[in-house]
Amino acid sequence: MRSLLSILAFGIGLVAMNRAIVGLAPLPAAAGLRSKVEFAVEHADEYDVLFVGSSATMYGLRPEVFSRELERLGHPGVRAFNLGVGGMGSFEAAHVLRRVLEEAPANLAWVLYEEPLFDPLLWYPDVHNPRYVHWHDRRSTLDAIDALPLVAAPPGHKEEQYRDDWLGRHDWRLAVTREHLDLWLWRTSALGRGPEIFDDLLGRGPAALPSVEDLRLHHGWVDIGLDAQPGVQRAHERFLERRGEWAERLTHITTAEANAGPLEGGYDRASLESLLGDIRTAGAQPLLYVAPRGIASPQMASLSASGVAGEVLRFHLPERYPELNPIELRWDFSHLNAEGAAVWSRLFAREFARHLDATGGAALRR
Amino acid sequence: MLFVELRFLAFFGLVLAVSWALRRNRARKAWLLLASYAFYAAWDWRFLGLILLSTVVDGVAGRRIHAAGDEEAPRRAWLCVSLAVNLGILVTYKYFDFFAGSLNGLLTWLGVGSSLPVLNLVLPVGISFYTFQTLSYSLDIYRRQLAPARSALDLALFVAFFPQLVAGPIVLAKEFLPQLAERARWSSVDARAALVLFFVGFVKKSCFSDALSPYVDAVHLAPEAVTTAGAWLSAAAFAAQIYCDFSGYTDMAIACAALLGYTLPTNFRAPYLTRSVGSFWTHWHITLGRWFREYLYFPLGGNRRGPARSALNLFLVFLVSGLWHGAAWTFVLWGSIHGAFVALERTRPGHRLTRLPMVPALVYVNLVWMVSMVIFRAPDLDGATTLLGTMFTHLGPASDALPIPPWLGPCLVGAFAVHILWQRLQVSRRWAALPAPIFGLTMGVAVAVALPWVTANPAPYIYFAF
Repeated sequence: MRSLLSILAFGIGLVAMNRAIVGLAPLPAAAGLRSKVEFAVEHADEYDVLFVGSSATMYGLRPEVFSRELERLGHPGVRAFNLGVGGMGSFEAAHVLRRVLEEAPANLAWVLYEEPLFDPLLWYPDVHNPRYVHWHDRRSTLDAIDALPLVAAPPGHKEEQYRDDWLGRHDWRLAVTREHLDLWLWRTSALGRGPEIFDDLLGRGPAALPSVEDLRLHHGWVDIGLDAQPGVQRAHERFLERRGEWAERLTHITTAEANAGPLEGGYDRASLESLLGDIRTAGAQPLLYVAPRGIASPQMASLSASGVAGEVLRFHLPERYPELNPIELRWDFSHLNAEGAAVWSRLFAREFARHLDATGGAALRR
Repeated sequence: MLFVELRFLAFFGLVLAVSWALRRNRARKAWLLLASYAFYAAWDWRFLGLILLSTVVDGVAGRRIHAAGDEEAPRRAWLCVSLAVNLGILVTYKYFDFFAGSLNGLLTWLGVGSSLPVLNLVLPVGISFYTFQTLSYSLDIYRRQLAPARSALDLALFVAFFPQLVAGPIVLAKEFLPQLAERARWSSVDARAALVLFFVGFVKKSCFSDALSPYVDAVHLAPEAVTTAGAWLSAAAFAAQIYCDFSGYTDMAIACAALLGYTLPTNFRAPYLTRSVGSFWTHWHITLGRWFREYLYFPLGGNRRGPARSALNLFLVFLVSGLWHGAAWTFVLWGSIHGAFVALERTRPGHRLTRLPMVPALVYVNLVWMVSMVIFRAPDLDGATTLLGTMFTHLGPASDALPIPPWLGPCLVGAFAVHILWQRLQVSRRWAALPAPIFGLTMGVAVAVALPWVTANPAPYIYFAF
């Protein structure tokens, strides 16, 4: 009896303290994730439209330009927020969006969501990085594991690592599953996050950028030309050296998109439907788009054609949106500069307005 | 399989449950032997053969020595067989390349062309530990202090018992074999004390040692890049790291054995609070010191042949102890330094060092330890001299190329605080004595608080390399 009581008390102490500590764990500061999510959660009620996506969205969509263009098109007073975060994949983006939706944002009418590919692979060799850990809650972990059978092959650079399974098995999916479960365990137990939590409590953690003032001023958009991250500058220099390749990339997109077949069995429809369902449950409407990142997206072409997700705005198509192609609008192969961002934002507003009209005048504001 | 890994906890949970479920002592021992071999095979199954060879040779030799009765010649012959096989394995795998390389260097320096072969063999994990354990078996039988093991199973389990197989404590046959005679009873196990000990060991290793290790590794990788302050800080960090690493492992080993119903000897008793180098070595890696005292120092004559011979014997023991730690000149030098200090403290002028007031005595012991550990940790003598030069002559760079991690200070304080709290203030004993629900609750809270401080990639235990 005493042993049982002791075990019970152990469980209570462990869980209670663990929950308290996990609640204190800050989001990763890198790539604007922390400041943007915290701002979006805090100001969830202030926005009608939310852009969710990767760095292409973060640098490429200017909410104030988007809103002005919508006003010019007869939709005044729309408030949009750019929740794009550098390097954000679909499972991470879905997790981040759910955190915002949990706040039950009173005015959110539309979620404009960048290219949900739902890639469940963990590409970094060291999986225990904060960016992977933070989104591995129970639901996202299970979604990612469920999506693994849809993937044909592991990342080439991790094949050797997956071969070293300690049970001697050579099933790479099992190895990736273990990675996901490991990350879930890390998140659940706050494993390895002590220094980070302590620094945060003392207010001496890394500066979370963009600042609240910048977020308030630009509503989540980040001017890539002012981003001090070394990688951003390197990508720009590389682009300047090899700018001649840009035209080739556009040609490749046209060819690849022309050859896009029906939606392949490898696409994770379940995660997409779950995501769209969450958005609708929160009282908003979803609209998917492909960013002009200079790469083809045949899966989205197939998705668009199959009607699984309604219309998909495919801004990466060179023939359809030639105004996004001039090389002087680009910062690097994947990102638009500030001027390019203004052009895309206006274009996006026009396409969005058209979409509203085409869908029978769906409400732009709640 | 590290003690701090989740898979070890799963493995140990299974071993524990099955071992207590088995009613017959023989079945229980067979299960533990199987588990021990599986544990070792998780490192490298190929080297299981070496453990089996040691076990078979010592089993046969032990019986023959015992059976020879008063006939000295066969007794000696069989002891020589045991020594030759065990030390032969150790020398081949651990020392051959070192001696061959050193001899090649010497002959080349003398102008005599030489190219002795280098074997490049992988060092089997824990070889120095289990070799010394098995040697204690045949040596004790030879010295008539022990009867041969009752069964081959007992001997095999003594050699391979997994909690202490790869990094000690070095258990003597005469203290472990009697424990195998009868099935242990759960009622005699102090589970709470064992759980506290395991937890303390886990914290030392995962929260402190692993947090200190990246900085120490970086300093020794580029010793020319650190300032004088950085070099001293890394020396202090390594002193804290190796204590937390090794004593943390030992704590967990003793705790695992205790939960299985067996008692392993204490290996650490607050060594950094001792007041002389000689005393330090009776508080640090106690079981290795005990082994050398019983099987090397005493046979050399101990202190029975006068102060000079006693000092020489001590010096020789520490020289060998240095080599036991690793096949490199850094370890030989490290052992010699400690041997010299211990011998010095036995002389009349040196004896004053053992009479210092508390604070100067602590500074003296820890200074000797920290500085000598720079040599111990360095990959070679060049690396050691670079760092020692920086520490003592301000010859390093003006500013640190290697940033000092902000968590180094708290880790150092924490490592030494654990040292004092657990070993001097007996916090673990008081904790284990709390009423059951309060013990459970506080243990749960403590585990939850410790988990966030566990580092992402646990480093292998430092002593696994020996």
